Amino acid sequence: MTRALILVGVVLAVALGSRSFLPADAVVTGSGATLAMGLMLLMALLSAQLTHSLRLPHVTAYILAGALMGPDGLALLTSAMLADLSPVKSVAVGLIALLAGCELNLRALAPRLRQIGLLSFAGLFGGFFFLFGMLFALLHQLPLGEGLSTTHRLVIALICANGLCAFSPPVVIGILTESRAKGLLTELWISIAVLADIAIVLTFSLTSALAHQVLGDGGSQTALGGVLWHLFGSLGAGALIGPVLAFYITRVGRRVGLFVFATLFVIAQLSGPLHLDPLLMGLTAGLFLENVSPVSGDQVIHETEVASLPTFAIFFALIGAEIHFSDFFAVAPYAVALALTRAAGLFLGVRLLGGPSGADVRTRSFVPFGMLPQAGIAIALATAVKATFASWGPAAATLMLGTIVVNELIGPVIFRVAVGRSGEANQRHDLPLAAHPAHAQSEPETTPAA
Amino acid sequence: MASSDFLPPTLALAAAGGLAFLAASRRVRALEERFGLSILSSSGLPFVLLGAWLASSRVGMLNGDVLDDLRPAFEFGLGWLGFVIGARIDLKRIDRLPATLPSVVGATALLPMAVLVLVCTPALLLLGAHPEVGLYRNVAILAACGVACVVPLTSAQAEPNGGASPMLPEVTKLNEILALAVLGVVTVLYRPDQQLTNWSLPPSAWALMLLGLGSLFGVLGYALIRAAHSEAEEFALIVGLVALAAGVSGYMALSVPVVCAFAGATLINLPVRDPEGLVSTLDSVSRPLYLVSLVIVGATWDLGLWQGWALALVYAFARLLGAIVGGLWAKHLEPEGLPSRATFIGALIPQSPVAVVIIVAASTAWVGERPDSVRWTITAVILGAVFVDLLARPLHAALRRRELSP
Repeated sequence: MTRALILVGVVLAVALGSRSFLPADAVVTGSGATLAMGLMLLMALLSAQLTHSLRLPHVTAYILAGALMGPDGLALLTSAMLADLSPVKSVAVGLIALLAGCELNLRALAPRLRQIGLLSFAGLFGGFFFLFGMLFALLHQLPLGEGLSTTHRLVIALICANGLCAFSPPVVIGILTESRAKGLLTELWISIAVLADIAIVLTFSLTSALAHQVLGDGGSQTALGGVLWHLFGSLGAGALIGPVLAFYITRVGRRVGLFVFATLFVIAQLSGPLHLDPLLMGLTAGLFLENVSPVSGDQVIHETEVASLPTFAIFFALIGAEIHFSDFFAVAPYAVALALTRAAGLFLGVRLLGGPSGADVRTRSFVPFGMLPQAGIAIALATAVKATFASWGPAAATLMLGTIVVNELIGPVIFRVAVGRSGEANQRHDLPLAAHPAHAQSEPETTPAA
Repeated sequence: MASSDFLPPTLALAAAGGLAFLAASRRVRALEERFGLSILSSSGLPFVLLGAWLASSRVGMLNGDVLDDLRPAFEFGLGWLGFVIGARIDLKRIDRLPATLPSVVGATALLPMAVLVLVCTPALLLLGAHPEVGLYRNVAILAACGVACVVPLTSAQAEPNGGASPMLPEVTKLNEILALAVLGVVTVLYRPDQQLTNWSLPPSAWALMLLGLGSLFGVLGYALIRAAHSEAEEFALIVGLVALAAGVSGYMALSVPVVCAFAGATLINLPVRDPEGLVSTLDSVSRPLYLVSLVIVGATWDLGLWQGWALALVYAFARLLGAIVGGLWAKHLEPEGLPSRATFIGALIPQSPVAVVIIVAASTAWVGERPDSVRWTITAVILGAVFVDLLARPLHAALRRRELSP
């Protein structure tokens, strides 16, 4: 811990020193982003070493490290640097989704698909119902709702509740990976997070289209067409990428991790201009690898392990750096209230509506913990609200982002504890790379750091 | 969305994937070795051409915005390659070599540099470069690129008795370091306008800064990886270290590969448990990273300038002449541990991938508007490597015949 603290001090001193070379308003393309990448990665990994003894999830450590260095923290990272690193974020989302797809064996899950679907619906419906009611009530109190008709308020509550229902597959998978979790609940957590993510993307597009229709700005057709393209285009592209990866792994088989990373980088570059979703593309490709191709998902997970750690660390640190604390403090009481309402909705929804799924009470009591964390998708939806609805969007997005900050910071901690109590942590023993000692390590260590 | 919008990215994706497949195959590497080709002229050239094609107005995929997006990755790539070059310098191994090593390195680096300066300066002047607009800088960088020769002995250049020279790889590695040192001196001497920065230091202070940063990152890297619990964590920490070193040096307008090379050399000469394993881990990424960097190099390459082609011929000639003169002089010193004259000169001829790293790093570090002569030098170094490779084999055969004749 002392060593990690000293190293944090040295890294921060180097970063602060070099940042003083140029005036604060200077923008350096390339160098700024490379510096930001190195700083975020080292600080994230060192923070994980520091918080390991506190039993905090590494994902939370990465997010906190990013928040500390971000524009609203020490301001070592500027908004321009974060924008330059956005391709890394898309690559990480693609990689996370690919690994999630590789984890999902549909044949094995087939008998439980009904259960997964019903539990996802129960959680989403419960969360949505509670959030919708709370938001509609809050709109009478907040300046955001002043002077708006009831229909208008209903639409705003609908959009915001829909966006705030989102779960976070990256955080869920990240925590399950670092916990070495394996078992029925682990499969449920991953499957529900991924399935709900697709449902949220779909329903959000539909509610956006409805909002455009009700508010009369005529964007519904474009929005609906965009949704269909976004969904089916991404699934189709993923179905093409899967065979490419399978071909490379079976025929070349060298530097697979690097090839997967490079492919995801190209996908990330293409996804923006083509309006495709790297998450859906990665997920489809992963599902293809695990369920259709001769390549096993475990092999892909193993081969990409070296590339995964730095990618995930940067991704979560970036998410932390993008937290706007100033926005959060402006709406903090409402945000906390919404986060609590969401949690209550998720737990009650699964408990009350999850009965027909056939899941036992224990399963139903653990499943909602995996629904608590929020990150990338929810932030993306809040940003979309801000950009799409000019009159009320920015204020609504601030409220949404405030709620997401709470779930982003608290959700992973609670989920990590739940994973530990579920009895499925440390059940994975296929740790070939993690078992390899570092080249500089003089004596074998017993506590795994990642 | 129109189908024409899909075509370029899909083709690019397919082309990049296909090329990566080809370049990673053992057959390509075996062919490189068999014909004594450098990585640039064999698997590298298609990547350069791919970059040029993607940036062409017809395809327009690698436009300015995309290149800006890729710049952090490119800068990181330069840093990684510099770090790997530095990490190959093991002082303990060098200490075990014959005492004549410095003279051999001097002969094989300084003489070719002198030849390159003497040949390329008038050529650049004739082509229209001006002393006021970067002539000396361009000549220095060409000289640096010229001495960086490829490290491994190819099968075509092996000794007839099958023996390997222990000194030869060290000579070529040190030549690469000298080439990087020249790049470092250039970036220390040619600084951005001090009006635009908060710091105002003389070149000597910048030289100390460059060395100090390199050493600091080396020690920091050692402390970081000592705390790593697994190979995966160690790799992530090194990625972070190289990114930070590349980012800090680039931010301060210091040469990225030079600072990273110092960091790599410092780290590997500290008491690391398994230096060979560490270098091997680093090296496993460097070839694909180099090839991908070449796509970006290709995107910024201006093949249409005839001056670049002319300079490439002059540069290739100067490199060959320099290698022969340097090789002959080094053999004249009669050091122990060097292979036969033909094999030695043959090994000095193929251009190292480091040359492309140097020319591109020098080009990206240019402060203010870049004159055309900078583009000529990029063309010269890329095409020069191909020309030299084409001539290397017959030249080596001729030297061997001459050596074997009574």
